[in-house]
Amino acid sequence: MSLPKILGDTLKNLFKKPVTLMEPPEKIEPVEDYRGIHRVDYDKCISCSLCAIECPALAITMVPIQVGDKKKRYPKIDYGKCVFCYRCVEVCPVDAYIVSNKKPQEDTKRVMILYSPEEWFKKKTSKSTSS
Amino acid sequence: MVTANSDEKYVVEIPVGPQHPALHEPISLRLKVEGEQVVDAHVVSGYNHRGIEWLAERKTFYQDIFLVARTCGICNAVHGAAYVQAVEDLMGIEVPPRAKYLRVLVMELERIHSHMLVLAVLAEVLGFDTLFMLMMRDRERVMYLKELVTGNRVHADFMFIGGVRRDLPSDKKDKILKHINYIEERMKHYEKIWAEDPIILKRTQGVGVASRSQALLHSLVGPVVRGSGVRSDIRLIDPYDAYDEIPFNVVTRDEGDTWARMMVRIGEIYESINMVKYVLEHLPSGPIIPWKTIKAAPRRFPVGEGIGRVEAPRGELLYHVVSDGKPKPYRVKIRTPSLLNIHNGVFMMLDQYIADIPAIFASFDPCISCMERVIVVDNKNNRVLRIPWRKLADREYVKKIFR
Repeated sequence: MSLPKILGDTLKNLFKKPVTLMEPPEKIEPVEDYRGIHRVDYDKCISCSLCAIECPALAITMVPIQVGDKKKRYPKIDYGKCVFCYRCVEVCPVDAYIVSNKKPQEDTKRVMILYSPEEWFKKKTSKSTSS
Repeated sequence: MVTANSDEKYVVEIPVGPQHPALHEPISLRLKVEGEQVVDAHVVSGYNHRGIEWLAERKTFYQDIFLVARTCGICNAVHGAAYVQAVEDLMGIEVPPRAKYLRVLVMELERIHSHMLVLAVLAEVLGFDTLFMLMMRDRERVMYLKELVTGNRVHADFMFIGGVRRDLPSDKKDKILKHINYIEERMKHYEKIWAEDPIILKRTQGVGVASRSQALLHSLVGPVVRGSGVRSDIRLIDPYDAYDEIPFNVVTRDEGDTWARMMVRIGEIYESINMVKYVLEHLPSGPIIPWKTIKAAPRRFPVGEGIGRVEAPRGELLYHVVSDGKPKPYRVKIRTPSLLNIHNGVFMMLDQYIADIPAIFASFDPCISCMERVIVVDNKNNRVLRIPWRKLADREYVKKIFR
């Protein structure tokens, strides 16, 4: 019986660093055009609700927001449901979606899970009042 | 009570699964054993049913592209490709040549990583954990390539009705070639281990034999039937996408045992690597969808039906889409290769030892989430209904049953 062919690999790997990385201390960088967290530029949004209609995971809902005198509906993204297929990004008629290659963070506080227009408009109104 | 010294033979039924260390997926095997030898076996499935076909009727044609890809995590791009092919057949769309080549690129990358996975898993089932770890480490490079081309390492979401969703910039070609060459070199090493390692040979050769006539009789598909010497490959007999322009060989072996099935898969990895190289060299220029932008895709679907047929890593995969002119499909029928291989391949387990059953089962490359089908259990009358597909297509009948 000959020596197992795998023995060479085993010996080589004894003196190598482990391939597995520990995230968070180490970071695994995704490629540049990775389908990561995406945001809505609510200034560009025209409230057509195409993204909410087309979303295969039903992660986008249209919520009513009071802007000035008018009441408009804006998309709210639930990243708990989102499958990151980017259908909303490609279907948007005004390209209102801002894309990034950031991975959705693992968090115990559930900060990342919802992205709603309320905060965006609150910030905007506070900016305009302060200036 | 049976005593140890009784001469009478007795049969014991052993349930294996649905949760079992030897099987990695939720399926139950009921083995009737006489001593160490299996005399009867049957498969019980239904632990992972999610109602994908039901859900597909309630979403639009475009939403379904992403839904059907979730049928199976490992072969998601081929599921998407088969569905998209069926819808193109329904609508009569011609796919641009560049999109055809890009589809082949992604599907072949997927075949490489799927075959590497099952080679690793079988090694683990045999107790060869070192080989499992090493192969999974190198498989990660293929996953990286898939991320590079499609944007995600597992769920490609690459196919679209009429073409593909993103283009391949020319600067990515060198990166793909570099990693593919590394994988080819490593695979030569692993082939040597699979062909020469005494432990692997003893555990797999002559185990779970299916002769050529048996494999045809039980209508097995994919690498399982090619391991029995049948030249059956949808890419060859019914070329789709760019497979009629790309040269490749169909790998077959005549032994028909577990080892032959694995060696067929190793041969197919080499073929896939060559095809990826050919695609990168001969990638035609031009658009990737027949319309100006992806937003201009048509919103109206004609009345009729379409069929999509592709060679998934596990065998023939068929999609049948029926439309009644509404934005949602009337029926999406999925016929996956695992369903045929697992349920029909049980005959290979007869007269084998219990210890060999996991090896035989893993050599089918079972994908449980692909193959779960509907069973209705009537608690009141204490009976189980198995509904034929012809009746399931009848909405009124289904409404009556699920009321």
